[in-house]
Amino acid sequence: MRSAPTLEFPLDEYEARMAGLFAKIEEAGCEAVLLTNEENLRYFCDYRSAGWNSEFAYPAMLLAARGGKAALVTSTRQLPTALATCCLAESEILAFDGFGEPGSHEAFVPAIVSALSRLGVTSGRLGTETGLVARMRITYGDYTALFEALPGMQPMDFAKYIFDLREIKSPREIEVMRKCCGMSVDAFKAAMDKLELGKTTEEEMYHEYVAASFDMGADDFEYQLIVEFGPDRPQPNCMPGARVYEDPDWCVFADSGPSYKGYVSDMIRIGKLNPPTKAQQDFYDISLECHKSCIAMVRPGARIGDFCKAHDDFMRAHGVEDICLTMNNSGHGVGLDVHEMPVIKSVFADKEFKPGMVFAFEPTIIHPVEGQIVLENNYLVTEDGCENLTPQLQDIYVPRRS
Amino acid sequence: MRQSPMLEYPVSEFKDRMAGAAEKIKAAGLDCIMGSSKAMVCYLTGLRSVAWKSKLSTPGLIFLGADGNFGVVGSFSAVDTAMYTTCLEKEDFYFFDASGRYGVALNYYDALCYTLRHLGFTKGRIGCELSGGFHLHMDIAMFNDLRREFPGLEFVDSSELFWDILAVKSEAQLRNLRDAEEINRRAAARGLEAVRPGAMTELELYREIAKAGYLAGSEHFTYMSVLAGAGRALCAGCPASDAVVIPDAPGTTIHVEGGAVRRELNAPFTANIVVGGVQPEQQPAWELASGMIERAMSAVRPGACAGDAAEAMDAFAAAQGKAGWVVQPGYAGSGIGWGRIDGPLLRAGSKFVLRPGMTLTLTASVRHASVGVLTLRQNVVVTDGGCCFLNGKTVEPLVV
Repeated sequence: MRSAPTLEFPLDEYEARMAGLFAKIEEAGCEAVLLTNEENLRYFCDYRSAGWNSEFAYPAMLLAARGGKAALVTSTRQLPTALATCCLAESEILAFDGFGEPGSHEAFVPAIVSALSRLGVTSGRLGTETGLVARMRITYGDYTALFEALPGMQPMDFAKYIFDLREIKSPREIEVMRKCCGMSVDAFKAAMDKLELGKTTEEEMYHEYVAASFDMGADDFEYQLIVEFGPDRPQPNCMPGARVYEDPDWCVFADSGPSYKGYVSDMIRIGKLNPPTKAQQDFYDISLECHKSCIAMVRPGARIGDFCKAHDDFMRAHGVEDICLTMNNSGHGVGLDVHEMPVIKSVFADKEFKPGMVFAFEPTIIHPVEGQIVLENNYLVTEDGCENLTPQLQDIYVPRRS
Repeated sequence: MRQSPMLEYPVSEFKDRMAGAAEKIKAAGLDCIMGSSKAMVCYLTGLRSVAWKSKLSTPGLIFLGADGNFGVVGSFSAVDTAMYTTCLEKEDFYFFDASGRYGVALNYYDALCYTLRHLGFTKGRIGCELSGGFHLHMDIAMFNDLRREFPGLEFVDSSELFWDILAVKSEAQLRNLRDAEEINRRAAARGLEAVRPGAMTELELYREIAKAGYLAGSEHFTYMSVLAGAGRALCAGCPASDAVVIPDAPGTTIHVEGGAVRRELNAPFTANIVVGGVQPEQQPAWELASGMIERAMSAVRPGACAGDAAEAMDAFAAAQGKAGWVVQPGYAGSGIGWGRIDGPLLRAGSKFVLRPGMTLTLTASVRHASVGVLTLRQNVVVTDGGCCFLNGKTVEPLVV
């Protein structure tokens, strides 16, 4: 491995990650793995490209095999980009004419077959990013064509092993995420402070939020910020629209956050121009108290299933289970992707919290009159509990008053 | 169908889209299609969700039959968003809910199976997004399970049909694309205003341009490549670096690639900011790339094939004795709109027939020591008599 000119973290960070990957290959009992996703390539070898923004392009793929062998496969046109960003040794960066280029679909299979052969892999199991919370970034047609060209190899779901590694953040990752999470709430405050009654639209608030984030050092918006004004805008994951903030008693709902060095944050904050009404405050307090109650039980070894149950029981105890959006589905891991492991859902009941995990918790009430009321924080699991990475504005934010 | 608060186009347009797609499905000998991509779901229903990049969430998946019968599958949490942004009636949306409160499927897979059976799509041929720039919005294991669950259904690749359905833009869509192109112009102008050669990094310039793009109204401003100088220009698609200070030598070219999105429609842009203007030794590269774009535009007209533009570009370079300068021979660009690159690809040999209303991006990349790689891009609309700029000429150097 080598320190590429634009490497994001010091080389030893990637050496540790690749060592973890090789150990997982042994543990899984496969011969090699094929990684096709932007997040996985960035995580293991820091390959980066704006080319991921085209669904037609495969900018690069990472192969790793038993015995500590690895190869980044890319096109000859994109070789200089790989050399500028990726920390694999130059001899491990294999360039093929047309690989992953929109106009050269036919180059894909021969390149991967050739690269596997150079790693000495022609038979056995090939780990792939299939299964829960995973997607291969190749077309299904290319997936089947690849395995037809590799008659001695069988696909194997390797996503679980990848998440075993990615879900535990290193101190350097935590430092980056701390900054990213901090900006996500600070930018909300900045955008709220510019909110004008009768003038600002949802879209404009989103754009002000983005501008504030860039000024604070963000470098991308992987996920658009959801901004919704008013009690009849309880639409999860909806794009911001042209609605104007017309009533100071309307709640402003904002969800997601900026990206920084590839890492994302995911907060939800509520704000408004008038002080909260009693009903708004009462429902908000349920979400806030749910955080306090449930987060107190998070420590290494605590089970996801018990955490899910605690959330659901809390909502039942407060009589809001029928209007709670997040029953049995109250959070998710955050990192290079906005939705990653650990997913806080009963299907992962036996999974345990571990130090270094970062997750978003979002107990959500959708009230037929009051609208969508929720507080979402990002938490870091520590050796003896949990740290809130988004501690700012835990109450409904009212500019010039809070 | 109904007019929801955030439906971007009239209901009549969605009725036409759905009917037109059903006709094409029938003509292709299919019984139905399964559209899981943002492009297909958004085109047919208007769904506006931020969750398409999630590997956990399911904004929506559409089944549409040759008979016009359709249904959309998604999670419980997506129902309200669908009702607020799409033309769908509530009964068109088949949701699942892990809590078990509603007596519906508990997970996505079961909801897919239920909906296929409910709509009667259990036999025959179902067209799917299996190649050509489409990535199934479900994991591969689930798709394989679905194939096993319905042995009477033949899951066939229909990517070309899908691009054919998506290719022609309505006047309303063209207005949004022109708005996106105008945002690009304003963002690039801000870059020109903000750039400080010798005292600014690529990443600092990137932030200025991206911020301007958002403030000008972009829904999302595609993560950009900003490359300063001939050496960096060789790094195709490389993200902006905070370790690279923009050189101030005359002729330094800052290559900026990105793209605004307006109402889900993408307009990619390429801007070349040149310190002190194009130098004499760089002129041949500029002339070659400009000439290639002009020739490609001449080849774009209704009835022409998508491959004609690439062949015209290559023929021009060869006639100049500079075929060896061309970075991607046989490639002249692609469709645009649903992504930065849509079908059809303008690839030599492609027989995809161009039609009025299609939006294309023409790109010419040439390699020369004086510039590294110079890429020019021009977005166009196919008209009845040929093609025109989407929103003005975009291949001129921006001189600082």
